[in-house]
Amino acid sequence: MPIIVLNTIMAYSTSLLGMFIYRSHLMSSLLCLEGMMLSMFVLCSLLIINFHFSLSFMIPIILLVFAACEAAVGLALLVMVSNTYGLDYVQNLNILQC
Amino acid sequence: MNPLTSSAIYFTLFSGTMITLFSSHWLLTWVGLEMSMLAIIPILINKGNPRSTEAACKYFLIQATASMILMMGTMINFMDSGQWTLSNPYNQISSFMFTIALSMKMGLAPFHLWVPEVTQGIPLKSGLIMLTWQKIAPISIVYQIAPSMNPTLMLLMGTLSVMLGGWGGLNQTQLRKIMAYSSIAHMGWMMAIVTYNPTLTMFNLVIYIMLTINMFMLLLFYKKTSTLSLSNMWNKFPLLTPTILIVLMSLGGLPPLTGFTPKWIILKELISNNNIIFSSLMATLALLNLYFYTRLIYSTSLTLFPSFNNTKMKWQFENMKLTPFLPTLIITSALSLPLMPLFSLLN
Amino acid sequence: MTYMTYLLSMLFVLGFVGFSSKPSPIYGGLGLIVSGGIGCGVVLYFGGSFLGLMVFLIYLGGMLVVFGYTTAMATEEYPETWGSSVVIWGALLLGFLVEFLIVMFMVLYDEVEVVIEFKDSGNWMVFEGDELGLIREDSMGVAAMYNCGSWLMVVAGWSLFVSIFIVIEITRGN
Repeated sequence: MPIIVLNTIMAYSTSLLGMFIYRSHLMSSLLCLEGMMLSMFVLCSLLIINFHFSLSFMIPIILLVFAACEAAVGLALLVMVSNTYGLDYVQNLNILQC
Repeated sequence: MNPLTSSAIYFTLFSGTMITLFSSHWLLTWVGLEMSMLAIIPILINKGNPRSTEAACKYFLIQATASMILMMGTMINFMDSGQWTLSNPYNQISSFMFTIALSMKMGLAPFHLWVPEVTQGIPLKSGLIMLTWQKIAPISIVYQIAPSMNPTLMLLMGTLSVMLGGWGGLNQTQLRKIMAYSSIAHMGWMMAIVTYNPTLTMFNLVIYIMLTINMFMLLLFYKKTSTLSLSNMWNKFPLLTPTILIVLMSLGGLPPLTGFTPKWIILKELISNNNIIFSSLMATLALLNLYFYTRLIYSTSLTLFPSFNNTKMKWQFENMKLTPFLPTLIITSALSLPLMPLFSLLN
Repeated sequence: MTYMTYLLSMLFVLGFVGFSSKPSPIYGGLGLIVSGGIGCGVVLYFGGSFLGLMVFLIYLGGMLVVFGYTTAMATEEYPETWGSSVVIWGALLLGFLVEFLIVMFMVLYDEVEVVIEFKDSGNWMVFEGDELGLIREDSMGVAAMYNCGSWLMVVAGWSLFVSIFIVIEITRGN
């Protein structure tokens, strides 16, 4: 497995780690979700191109479709959170802690 | 919600889980999980107050991350074997990623912290959907990939989950949080057995769903969300207070009731697989659960909580609420232990 | 040319490190768009021209909307850049360092084992060329979604359709 796949998986893990950071804007977390989706798209297309699985080329497209759905719902939640709290910091989401 | 919109959303929720259940291709499994995850968000946020917004946001972030991890596990599996089929031997790393993603999805122990918070923030009816229907899809995936999972890891996570589910609930007075911790503990029982006998996981899931629906139906009937408000209903619905006792005891797994059945078989299966330590640990830790159920029972039906004189006659008023499922649910969740030999058909 | 894609994929990771260290979303969106474009380039190089077009036009178009929206929402007077906080700066440096180390290791020893074994970069070749005149298989594969994958398309289209209603229901709350 060559360096490009390694780099794509590296990009995925970077963005997963960024998702786990509990400090900044909610928007940054959504960007990290998008980034995970993007790296998986690139990885999936590269693998399918390498394997020559012609019919599997619809898989990255479906991934993109659901990335779009997730981004839409995430942005709607972002709007609701910033309407309710005034800010969209992740660390402000603390009224339900036990 | 607008009836047209709500029917579309509930249909998506239903069909997402169904797609996950029926598919044998990782992409469609993932698509089904995504669909049911997206469709439950407006159900969670039903009333636009800050708490439900926050709960929906947390639920979305956790579930989206878990879906991403699941998809990446699929990719690594694809890279390794060139297959997208759900039922083949996986390599270790993708199996590990599936384990993490699915336990995040259903709220197993090291990833359980979102369950009580989200359940506390949302209305009771959404809580009912989230704690029962949303567990079906991840558990069905676990059921299918169970042979490739690491038995020690699953047993450890299950025991930890029983422990934390019992421990966390000790301190709570909010009924929804208590139900969430009870859900975590039940997930622990299901996951501890899954590598030895996945059929028992499904069986436990069925019993758990039945009992949880019953409990939530009772709470919905009273519209109660805290222990304090539960304690002065003995003068309104005196007949239903012993019912809560029976249902809670059944959730806790006391012998003559239905909830004892899965615990009994799981312990037997664990012991016959030479896991004496873990099975005795789990049986002991189930007492923690039983303790806070007993506290609920105590405040509901074992004491006459002080109340005003004019409220003591409230039971005389005729009750106009419809209880369509309640009698059946109560009877099945109390009395189906004698049906246990039928479950041998499952194997 | 192969080294070119190596460099491109390194830049891809660096863009990811850029937004994963969580600066202000303005700069984060910039990082994501840069790595989106580079990812499109990598896919294009390996022969996925249709997929590259897809990600460049659709995804980056969508991301630009998100980006504009974010810039409109970020009302901070002094948005956090990568240099303005020790945490972001440290995360950025750490990410760069890890990427650099892995790439150096790969170049020097031609194999690296991070949980999975990555080695033997020689088997990564593109079998198509301009002279060979093969069919572009990726557009063909995507077009098969109208034929073999029609139910998949129905499901995807339905969820896009429902996500509109989901968004409306969420934002209508109060």
